[in-house]
Amino acid sequence: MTRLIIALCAALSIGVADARAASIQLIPGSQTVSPGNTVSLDLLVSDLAGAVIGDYDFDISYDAAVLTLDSFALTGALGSIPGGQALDFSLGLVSPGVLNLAVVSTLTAAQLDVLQGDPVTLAALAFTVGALPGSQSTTVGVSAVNALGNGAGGAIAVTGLDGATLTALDQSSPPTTVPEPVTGVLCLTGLSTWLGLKRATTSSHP
Amino acid sequence: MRLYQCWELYMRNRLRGLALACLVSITSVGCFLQVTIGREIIEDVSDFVDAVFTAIDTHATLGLCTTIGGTVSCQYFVNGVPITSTASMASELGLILGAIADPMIVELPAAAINIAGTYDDGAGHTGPLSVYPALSYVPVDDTHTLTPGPGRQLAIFDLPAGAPIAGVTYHFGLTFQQFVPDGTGPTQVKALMSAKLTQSGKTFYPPMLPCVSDFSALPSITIPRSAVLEPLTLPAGVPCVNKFYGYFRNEVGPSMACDLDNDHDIDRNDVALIMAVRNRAASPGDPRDINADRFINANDARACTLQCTKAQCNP
Repeated sequence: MTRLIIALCAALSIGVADARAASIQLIPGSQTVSPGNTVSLDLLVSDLAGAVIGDYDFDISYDAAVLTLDSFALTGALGSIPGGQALDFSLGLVSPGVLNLAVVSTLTAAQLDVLQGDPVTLAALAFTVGALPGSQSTTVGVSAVNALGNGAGGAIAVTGLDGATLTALDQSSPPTTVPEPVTGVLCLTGLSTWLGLKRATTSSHP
Repeated sequence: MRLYQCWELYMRNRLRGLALACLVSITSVGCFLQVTIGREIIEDVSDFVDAVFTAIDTHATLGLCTTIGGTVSCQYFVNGVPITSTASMASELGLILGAIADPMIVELPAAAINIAGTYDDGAGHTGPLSVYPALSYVPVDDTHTLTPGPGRQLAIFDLPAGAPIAGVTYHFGLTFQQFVPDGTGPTQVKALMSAKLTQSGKTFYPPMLPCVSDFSALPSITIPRSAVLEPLTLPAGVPCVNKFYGYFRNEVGPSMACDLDNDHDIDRNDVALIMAVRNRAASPGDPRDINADRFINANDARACTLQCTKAQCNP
């Protein structure tokens, strides 16, 4: 029994360790879209277990035949980029459908701790939806974690990569129609009910 | 020199002297060049682009360099002719006690990729050479830095730690690839042999043969386009004659390893040099692999921003 408890504790502790490894997400995780829509996604890192992010270098992939990247904006989570507190080494679009984002902070870990919580939002992306047949989906995801460093430059383990799924609104199927016979029955039913009520009202008020 | 040649080699010091001071004898390796051959082949990628594959091979026997006090003396044999190169290396600590090795520094086209080197003594000692490609700066001493010419890059080739050095004859191989516009002529390279020493956590590569302070002073070697390896004509080079290399910088902090451009500070320019070659595997000792995890990425850059000389890593 004791061994079983120990084994369970060990298993739980492993589970806790895994749960503390960072996750990288694009949110919202799912959206319904239509061609021509502009879609906004936030890139964030969660489950940092108290660590701060000192640097990151990610590749974000999407289907360039379906989505057009309108813009990307880096947040000040690692320090102000215009102010020189963080250095932007993003390569931008490195190939069709692959966006590279990379920032290295010049701030100390203590300064970063003031700026960051958990989760940490790193960037905002905006796409325009192109041709996407109804009910079909496309995804935007983190295809490569080239680096994710803590305040000292040590690697932060990443166990979760959650992309965003964009599903087209189903506009292809025709609206539900009511068969004509049924429509007639409904009309007659309504009419007869109305006439019945009117007659009853008339008879009760001579 | 004789550049190439020796892909070699050498190394290791052996500190013989001791104690008292003044007389320190360090042994590393020089180069006894026997044969150097090379070739390059072309594959037609498209109507506008060719893929060029270059290979250079050499047989060389490692020799010895000796260090007495702060003076290093290395002997090289090129085309059967012995050449002795001597240099005086001084630091604020008095004597250079760090490792003295003999890497080779090669200037290649900037477009060269997949740069690799191998060594093989035919007796079971074989493996990849340590290669540090895509270098924009190679520190020589306090006041000198080697830089590549326009459209070129520097690469350092070094025998890895643990490879035998005493009297061993090695076959060294160097290969790299390029994608060039159709019709581009044969590839030209330059090379020199250097010493190697570490001060304040930073590694320096003072040239020994030829004894130059600028790659523009070196003649080029043209790699023949041929189906077979052909002998390379190695230009003559002038050895050092008690050349002085000084290491007196009084740096603040425990390490200046991040001062990659050798301008006596750590700033965003140094960080950018790391990020310029990010996300690639690194040979042991690559100056940009700050955390020594054999991989260059933004984590190395972050480690350097924590050591910046000025706030926000301003130059």
